Amino acid sequence: MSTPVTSGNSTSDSAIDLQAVYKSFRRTEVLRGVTLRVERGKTFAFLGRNASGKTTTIRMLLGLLKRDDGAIRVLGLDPQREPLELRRRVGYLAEDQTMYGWMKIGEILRFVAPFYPTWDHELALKYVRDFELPIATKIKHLSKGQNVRLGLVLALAHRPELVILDDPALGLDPIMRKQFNRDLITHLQGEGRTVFYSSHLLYEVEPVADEVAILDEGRIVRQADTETLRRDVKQLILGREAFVANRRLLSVLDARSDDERMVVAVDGAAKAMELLRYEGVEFQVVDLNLDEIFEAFVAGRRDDTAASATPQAMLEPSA
Amino acid sequence: MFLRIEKGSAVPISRQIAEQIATLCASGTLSPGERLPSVRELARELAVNQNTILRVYERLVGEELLEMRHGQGTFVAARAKRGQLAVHRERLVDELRQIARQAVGLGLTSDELHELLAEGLDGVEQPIPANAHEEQTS
Amino acid sequence: MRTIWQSLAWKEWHEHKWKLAAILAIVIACVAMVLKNTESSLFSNIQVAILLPIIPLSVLVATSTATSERSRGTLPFLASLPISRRKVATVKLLFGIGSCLLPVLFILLAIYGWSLSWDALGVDYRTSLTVAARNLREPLDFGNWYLALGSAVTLWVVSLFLWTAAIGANRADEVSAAAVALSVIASIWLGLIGIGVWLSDDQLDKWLGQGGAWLAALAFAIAPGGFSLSKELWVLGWLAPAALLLFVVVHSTLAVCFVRHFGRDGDRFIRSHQTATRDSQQIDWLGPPRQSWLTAIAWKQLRESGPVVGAGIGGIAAILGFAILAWARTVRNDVDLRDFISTALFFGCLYLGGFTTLVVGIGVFLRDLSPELHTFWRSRPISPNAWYWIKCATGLTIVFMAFQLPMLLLLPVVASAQQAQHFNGTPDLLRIGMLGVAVFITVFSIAVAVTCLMRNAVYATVLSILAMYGGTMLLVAAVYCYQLITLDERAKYLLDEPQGTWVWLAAMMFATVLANFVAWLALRNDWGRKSRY
Repeated sequence: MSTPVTSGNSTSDSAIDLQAVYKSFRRTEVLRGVTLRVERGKTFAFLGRNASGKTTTIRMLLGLLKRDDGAIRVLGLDPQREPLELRRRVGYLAEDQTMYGWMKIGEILRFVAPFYPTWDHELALKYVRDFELPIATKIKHLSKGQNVRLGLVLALAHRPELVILDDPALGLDPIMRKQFNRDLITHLQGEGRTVFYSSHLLYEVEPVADEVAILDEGRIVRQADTETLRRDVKQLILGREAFVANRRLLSVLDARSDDERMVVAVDGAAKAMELLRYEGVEFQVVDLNLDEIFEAFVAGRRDDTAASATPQAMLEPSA
Repeated sequence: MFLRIEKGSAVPISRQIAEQIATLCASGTLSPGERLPSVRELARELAVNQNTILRVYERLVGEELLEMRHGQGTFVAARAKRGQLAVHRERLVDELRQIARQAVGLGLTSDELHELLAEGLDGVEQPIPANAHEEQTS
Repeated sequence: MRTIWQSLAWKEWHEHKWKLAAILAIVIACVAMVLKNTESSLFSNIQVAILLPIIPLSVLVATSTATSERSRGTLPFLASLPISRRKVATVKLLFGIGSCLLPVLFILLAIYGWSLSWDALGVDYRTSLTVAARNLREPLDFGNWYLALGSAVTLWVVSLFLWTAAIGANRADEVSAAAVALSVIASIWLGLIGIGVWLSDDQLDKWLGQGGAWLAALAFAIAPGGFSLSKELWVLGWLAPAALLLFVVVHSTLAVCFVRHFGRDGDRFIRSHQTATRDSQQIDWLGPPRQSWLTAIAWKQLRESGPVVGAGIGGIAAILGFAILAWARTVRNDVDLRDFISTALFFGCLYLGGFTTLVVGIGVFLRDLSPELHTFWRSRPISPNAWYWIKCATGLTIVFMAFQLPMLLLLPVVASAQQAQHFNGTPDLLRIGMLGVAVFITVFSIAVAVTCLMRNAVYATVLSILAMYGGTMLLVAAVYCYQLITLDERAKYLLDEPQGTWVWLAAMMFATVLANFVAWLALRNDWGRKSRY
């Protein structure tokens, strides 16, 4: 499926294009038809719970795993056919990146350099200085934050068009996380690179990302920029009967109830509110933060009859 | 310029930034004609996406609070109106609405609510002018 | 509800059962290899076939016992449980030693069972048995061959195991524990031999006569595995029980040392979280990038294998030193110095170099295939083919330059130094040279292949040795089958000189090609034992 490019240059290729990608491990289906499109120059956040398939997807983007079905194009290349060419043009930072502990920082930079035709040694040195990394220290003696920054240098020094980060802030303390975000903005967004960034720390991701996709149960359940997402997903509080009567008008993500009221998280809030007003239903609107929005998509209870049970409610026939 | 982003808030980040800049302008901390940090600088300082900062600036320019001078940067507009700012309106209306809901929940009538508002106005340290005319003369 | 001991025993049993099975398989394989020999030396060969593999295997199992928890990262978990570390260590020790001794016990029982059926089978090896028992010369005087061999093996295993475990108790991983333990044990033995050589000739006789023997006897009692060898030194009546007492005391101390040190210093190897600042080093420039990916990969391999090869060279130098010492003290009159040194150097390069080749071969891909580092190089634009071939070529080249080149250069000297009967001039030197090179290359290739598949140092070592034995036996069996099929009388001599060389060379070439092919595919397609998903 090809959606037309909504903004920007309509003739530009997307940086990443996944179409109906399937992947199973042994008997577990991890990805069930993932479709995703990342435009060039955007910072794209890939959100999902732990073990939802984020790392699997990223490894397929780099050609480290073979997909079972579907098409993947990264910078116009198929990772399975041309993995080496792809890796030359992509910067990659893995979660909890382990590098050769016996090498010094200077040594690993000199070692990795000849594999990249576009390696800029001056740039690498500049990053090393900016990040204040001790060149003559062995990697096994670096702190975690320095390790991540070294990984960033390795991912950036060859001037890649696309940078893929797999939960890079894992295990960093809040100060280091903020510093990492700052580095990301300065060195990646500032240079106009495309960033594909997977994480489960939403509040960290939100300030930095242009667009966000939520992966749940092997599929992309929502893809939008954060402002649109906030605008579209809101919580409505309304009476029970009113809810039941108008349920078909709402695209419900999560429904909970107490005795008389229903608290419902809906997608397409603007339209929903308009329709409800037209029907004359009274309701309240609550804004949600990104964590709650995410929770609604991945852990929301869409079945409203599985609500709280006061004995009274149990005796009444279910509506 | 000190701005604070509350992560994980129900208020979108762009609105947080916009409101804070508007408040700084309204309170006089940012004087008319003062230069604001560039989009890049502010993005770096706050660790926020550049596009978000850009949107904020554009929005405030649209409300005539800021002006962009080509090649020089973004400055506080000389004729910044204090008080009639859409950003603030939105937020104040929201907050008043919240109070109204609580009042309704507690069973107060509209008149009682107005009484409360009058009491609140009385308690404010700086006298609030009744309308725009008074503001110019005081 | 289980008791703590039961729980620990259950855990250790599960971890040790495969080691036990492997050791059993290896010993059976060794014994099977010698079974075709003649009557009189059968049991002597059997006891060699049992002792020879058990000695290095017990060292390996001991390093695993000492460091496996730490290297797998399960030590913090163990430490957080309400169990005393000492209990854990004690159970580990018992199971470790047990898994080395039980296979031997099993084999001895099997042989005994077989001996009971001799009358029925109409064969009699009793003379062989008594000859072997006499040759065994184990210290505790059992008349019975089974008990004698059993006690000899137990003394060797317990001693080596405890020494290795005590030395390796807190090392970071099996490889460094093995390296340190082997160095220490080798130094102790070289020291003993050196002193013995130094005090040789009339001096030692004087000492022995004057009671210097007691020093030697006690020293041997302490040395790893030495107790089993020291029977001749008990010339004085009281030496035997004294040596036994010392043996028990020293080894109990080693056991206690291990039990007390196990699991301590938990933080020593945790990466320091203090930021290493630039102030400490003041280097602010980067050297130029490596010239090409070829030089980059070669450089990396050089840096990784270099230390191991260096250690091997150091070992050979030590051997050379002792050779010179021995020459100076004992053989001076009989043998020319040059010849003696050349021979010592040659065989040093052969054996120590061969072992080092095995270790280097295992090390080539061991770290690269660990789950943490695996993704690092695979996610870079590095062709796996280049990675494989350049690393192997570099490793092999270093080993060649360090060990084989000296061996080849020394070959003429050594040949001329030997008795003239066995060598007929250059052609044989050529063949021996080729065989030597082929063996090294084969050992290296097998080590690489096994590591790519097993991805674990201890398994890889054991399996490489198994593969080599297995390959040899396979060749012997193949020749035998060929003989059966073709009914060609001459086929029986296929493995003898002079055509034997070519057969061996062909077999080794085949093994090398197969091993490299398997290893290359395993690396490229990421086949192999996966410890993580």
